[in-house]
Amino acid sequence: MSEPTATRRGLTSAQVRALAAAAGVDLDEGRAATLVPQAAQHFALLRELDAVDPQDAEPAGEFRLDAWRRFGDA
Amino acid sequence: MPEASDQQLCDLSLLDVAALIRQREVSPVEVTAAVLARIATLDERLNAFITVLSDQARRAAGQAEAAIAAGDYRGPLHGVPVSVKDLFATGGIRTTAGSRVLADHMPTETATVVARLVDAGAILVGKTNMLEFAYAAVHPDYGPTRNPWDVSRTTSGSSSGSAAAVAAGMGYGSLGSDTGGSIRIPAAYCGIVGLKPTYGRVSRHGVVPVSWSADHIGPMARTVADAAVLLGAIAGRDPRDPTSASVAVPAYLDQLDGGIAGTRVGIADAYLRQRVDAEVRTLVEAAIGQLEAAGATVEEVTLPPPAAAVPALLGILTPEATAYHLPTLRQRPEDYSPAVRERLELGAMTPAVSYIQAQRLRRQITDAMLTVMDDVDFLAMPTTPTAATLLEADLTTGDDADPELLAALINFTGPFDLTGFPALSVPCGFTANGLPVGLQLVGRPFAEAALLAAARAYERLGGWSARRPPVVADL
Repeated sequence: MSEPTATRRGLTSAQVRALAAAAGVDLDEGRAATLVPQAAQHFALLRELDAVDPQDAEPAGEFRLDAWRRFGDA
Repeated sequence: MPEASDQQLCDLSLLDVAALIRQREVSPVEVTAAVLARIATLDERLNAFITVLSDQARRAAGQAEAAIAAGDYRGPLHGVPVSVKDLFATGGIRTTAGSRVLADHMPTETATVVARLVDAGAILVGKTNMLEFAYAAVHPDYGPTRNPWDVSRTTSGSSSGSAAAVAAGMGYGSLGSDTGGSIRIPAAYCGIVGLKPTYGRVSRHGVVPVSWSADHIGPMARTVADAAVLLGAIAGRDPRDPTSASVAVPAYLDQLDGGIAGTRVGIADAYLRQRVDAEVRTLVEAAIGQLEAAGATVEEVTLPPPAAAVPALLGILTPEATAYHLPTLRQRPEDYSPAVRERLELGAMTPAVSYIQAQRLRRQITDAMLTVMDDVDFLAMPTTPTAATLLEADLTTGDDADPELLAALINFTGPFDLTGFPALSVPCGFTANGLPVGLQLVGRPFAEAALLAAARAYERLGGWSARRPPVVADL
């Protein structure tokens, strides 16, 4: 598995600002710089998801467990 | 029974005080007065409550007393003082979610679970302190809750005040919420029982969300039977929560004595022997040994490890939390504590593809756990990797909490928020420092009755629930 670009090159405060701005969250330069280490950690954690191959699993888009009532008390 | 002192009254179990009320040996007014006096005595030290509802509780107790005297007894919660975490909407009562953002929030509606407690006759004595928005950090406006077993230590969270209140006899039970372990972790740290039911078992309507798909509501109490009473009152389909399940609610109390003999208990290396404090592991292994001696079959199983499940949970929880908070985060970010603001900002940066990958992993992990649960009735493991830490070392109170350490804290609890399986923490002993340790039992979806019966069986073997914390013993 190749390391993601941002982590490999080192995340920049400009990238952090751009990522937040894409969700409509405005960060000033100082705030973005403060967040760089935490953002790098956050993305590293998300990259851990790549380490597990979900095979052909589809997303648990609607998370309801009614179908599991075969286990239920009722 | 000889007349109980106020202190003795406060330390009774919910079911024991309910029996006295039903037999009219004590009145709800007396019990409520005793609990309010205990809160007045202890809460300056513990900081378990954000709002104490003294006048309202006294009025409700008077009404309960009159109803019971008139023969209208509603059941074991009638006239019994309880609390709820301050993220449950209470019509006409401030609901802060432990935040500055909602400091003046006065809901017009009441959360389904609170309404159900009140309908069952419970007396609401207060709204309990919590981590800000149940998101793993204390807001400085409210400050940390202190652990009744050692006030220099944390309760952790996020249902911090609920755990401390119940442990210290400031009410007979409480409701908490659990997205990564927020019922079970403080329950373990405070030596009480905390149950996270199956996702869908209990309505989330009227509860300030962290993560819609991982939030669970559940009871916290001093005994398993008390937790069963509370669960019975709040469980069941709610048309106002589209994720609440149409699964019948059994009579939990009636099934409590099912025992543990003949059941199969799974233990997994990744959930018992890795990254666990030696003292905690010893106590939990001893508890598992007691289950085996009582007739359970203990077998090794292989579960998807926390190293996969916790990143998946955080990959879902983080952007869901930000989605809820986005308008406020854009307009008044400075009103959040630094740690929560940071997490919300990071959530805004989470790529959609990561969220989808996490949901794919969630399905895969859930399916794998279901397969394991075909062969065992329960899983057993520590609730937390350590006992309660000192407040100054607490991950939830500082502004510079290390996300990796926070992830480690929820290693054993978070996977079951991800998958939605019911899980319960029951006290299983004390460290050499006198700090409680929790045994976590995990059951099959919607099989809370069996889970409670197993926990009850262990509780009788362990005998830890009778212990009271020093802040109470010193009274």
